[in-house]
Amino acid sequence: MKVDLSFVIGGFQGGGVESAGQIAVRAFAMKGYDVLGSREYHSNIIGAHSYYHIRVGGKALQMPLDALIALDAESVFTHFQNMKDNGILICDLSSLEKKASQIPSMSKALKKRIELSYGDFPLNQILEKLEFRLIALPMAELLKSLSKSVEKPLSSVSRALNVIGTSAGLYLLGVDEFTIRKAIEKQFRDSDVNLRAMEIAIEEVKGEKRGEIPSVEKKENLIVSGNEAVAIAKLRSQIEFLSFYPITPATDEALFIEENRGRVITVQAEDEISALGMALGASIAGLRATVSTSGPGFSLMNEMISFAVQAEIPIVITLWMRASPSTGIATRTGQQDLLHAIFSGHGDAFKIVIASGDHEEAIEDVSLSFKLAEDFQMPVIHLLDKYIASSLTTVARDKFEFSLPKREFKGDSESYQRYRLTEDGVSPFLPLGMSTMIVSSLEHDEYGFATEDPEIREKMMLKRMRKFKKVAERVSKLSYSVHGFKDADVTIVSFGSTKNAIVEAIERSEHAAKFLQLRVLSPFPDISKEIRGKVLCVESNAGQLSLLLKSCCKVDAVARKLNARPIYVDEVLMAIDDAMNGKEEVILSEGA
Amino acid sequence: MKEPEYKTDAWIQWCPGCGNYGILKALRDAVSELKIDPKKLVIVGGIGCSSRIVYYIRGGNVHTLHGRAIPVASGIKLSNPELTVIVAGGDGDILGIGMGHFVALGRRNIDIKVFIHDNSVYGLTKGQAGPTLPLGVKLRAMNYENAHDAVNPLLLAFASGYTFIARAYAYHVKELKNIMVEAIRHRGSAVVDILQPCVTYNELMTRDWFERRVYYLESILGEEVAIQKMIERGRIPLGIFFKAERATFEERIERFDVDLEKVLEKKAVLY
Repeated sequence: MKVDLSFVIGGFQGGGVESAGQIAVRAFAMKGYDVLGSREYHSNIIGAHSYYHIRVGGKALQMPLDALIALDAESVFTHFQNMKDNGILICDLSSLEKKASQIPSMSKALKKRIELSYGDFPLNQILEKLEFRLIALPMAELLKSLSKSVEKPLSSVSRALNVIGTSAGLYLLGVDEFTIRKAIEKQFRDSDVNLRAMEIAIEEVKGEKRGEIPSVEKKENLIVSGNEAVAIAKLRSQIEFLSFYPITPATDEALFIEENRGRVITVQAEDEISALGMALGASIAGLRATVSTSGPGFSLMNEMISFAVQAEIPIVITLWMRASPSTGIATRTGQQDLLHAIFSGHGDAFKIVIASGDHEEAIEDVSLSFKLAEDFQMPVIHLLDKYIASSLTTVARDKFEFSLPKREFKGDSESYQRYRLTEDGVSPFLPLGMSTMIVSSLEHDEYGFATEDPEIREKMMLKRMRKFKKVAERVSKLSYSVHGFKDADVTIVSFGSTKNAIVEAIERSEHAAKFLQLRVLSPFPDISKEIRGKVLCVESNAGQLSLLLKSCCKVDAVARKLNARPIYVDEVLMAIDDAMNGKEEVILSEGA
Repeated sequence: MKEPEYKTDAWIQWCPGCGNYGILKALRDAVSELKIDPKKLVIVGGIGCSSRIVYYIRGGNVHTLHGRAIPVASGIKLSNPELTVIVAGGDGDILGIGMGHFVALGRRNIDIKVFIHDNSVYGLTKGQAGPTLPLGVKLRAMNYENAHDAVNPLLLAFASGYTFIARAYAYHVKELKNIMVEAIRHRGSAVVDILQPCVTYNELMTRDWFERRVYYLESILGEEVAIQKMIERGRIPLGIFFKAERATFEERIERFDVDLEKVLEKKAVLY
């Protein structure tokens, strides 16, 4: 029996959705399954709707939902339209009395959409017409009995509503009580009240029909968010310096490193210009240095990127993309910084851009990024996004079993030429302190002295270009992965976090499809020889990758996700069908 | 030990009579007096006439971007505390485009010396008003009277937390050198606002104009007197205004051993 589940746990921000989602992810992970828990939240401290979308038995999100655990009425209104017929809907009994118009935190746009489709009626009247298995928990009563049972005032136990909802949901999906208990124990330092809440919840739904979740082979797994995966990979890579300015969704990576920094120097800078400037200073001084940011911060870093290119300073910039332009939607995902990353920094600012498809690739790409940055003395931009940043997933522990030796320096420190002209364009690197030298943002001669001489200028341009050519040779085998059929009727081209949805979709599609996942976006690979059949470009932006693709191949169709939510498996399936039917433009609109 | 050579063979591109020559001489004399190994000397420049000094003194020098010398210098100093790190920039560089970094450095008290080549104009772009140019002044290259009030570098440094604050004058090379030596010896963020005529674009604040106004403070002052001296109008006091011993950023940040395996253990799926 193959377990394949897709469900949502929703509630208001600050109402325990975070813990509920983590408990659910852990419970299924404990049973031995691959799990993905995607966290969606508002740019808000408390009160707005947030949710976890959890996939069990796969690592991509898909619709429709098998179950919805709604900790409040807004969660029902937000997600019920995405549910399967006969899906399980667990909610608070009192939510059923509510109309959408009575929920102040709900967006006017959603209220209007619901009213148009269903009228402004209480939930029970709307749900009556739908084919869900409705499990309405009398939360007020359950909390009262919890309060009595643990001898604590109602106000202090009412937070356990998330555990009641989640426990009931997990139990109905088929997770055994022992596993739910273990997951809760791991979640809370003091779990007594929550364990009792779980017992009360399970008691309440005991008579209901349940699913079945058999244990499968257990692996040495960790549960990590994308932010954590990258942070740990950086620590494993023996970084020595990290500077950052707080920005969603990059901050959690930096804070994880700061908390576990050991001997790593971490600095919260006054802005992103300074963050990158400090890291470049550290790198010139010989340390392995990195910064972490998102779109608006990356915009500020641009002049420093150009500096790093010109002065030939190794640096790894982790760029967690979010929905933009401008402040956009700070807490939602997107892939809108692809062209910005590739073309960041004024001038012929050659740099390496690497995109990871999921947590595991992100871990590998961290150490690769440092190697490339240091070998070629140029910036590496590691492109990730909010979807990966805040998704929890199971990752094999041995993925983190690696280490990168510290930077080493040897060479002639007398009359050192920081920018010596060499065959491959790479000059021997000595850090400050080991020799006199000049590191310069101005065009310079081999010593680093500023010059405007046309012949030297040309030589230095050619030097930097040679270096970039060498990068292309070095990464030629890594620059894209091929998934699916060798000979196919359709070739999907994409990059970054769309990976797992596309990989799953081409397995399930009735069309013979292959998928070229671009891993290195700069230097941009030539994929023309891999193209079979129609070319479908899938991306979460207005069509940036398709623009680049046209430099080496035709593009028959572009599927764009523009609503700042991740791409779902079923959407990719639809896009493949559309492309095969000759449609050139597809908009993917799923997600709440 | 042989005296280290601090001169380079680069042609110096400043205008004849530029205040930068005095600053260059004083800085070479200061590092020479302190016997700083050129390998361990790091001058970090921003962009502008003044920042060219990185090419004129032997060291491990870095020519960065307009306004951004302080962040790069901060990364360098934190990474290798053995190095003597000096930031060179004009008033436009440090107090205009780079003011945020100037304030942040004071708050951190990283052991970096900021030498402001303060001539109240943007020289290399040919004479626009700098942040220290008084309100209402119109210099020859400007289209109209300066509509910005002048920033007070010393007060700003004090408000930001700098632990060594001084003002000097570019043509008093010996006194300037002495102040530089004191600043370099100080442990923490130090700023020296070096008044400097721009012979080409600032026809108001000339050598004669400065020399009729400057005078030296007798001794280091208490906080309140220091502030009064910082805002003195008419005459221009020079010298060390303020000095304090405070923990540096390096000392404020705790470093410890961490066992990454234990960190991973917290993330493990327990069965």
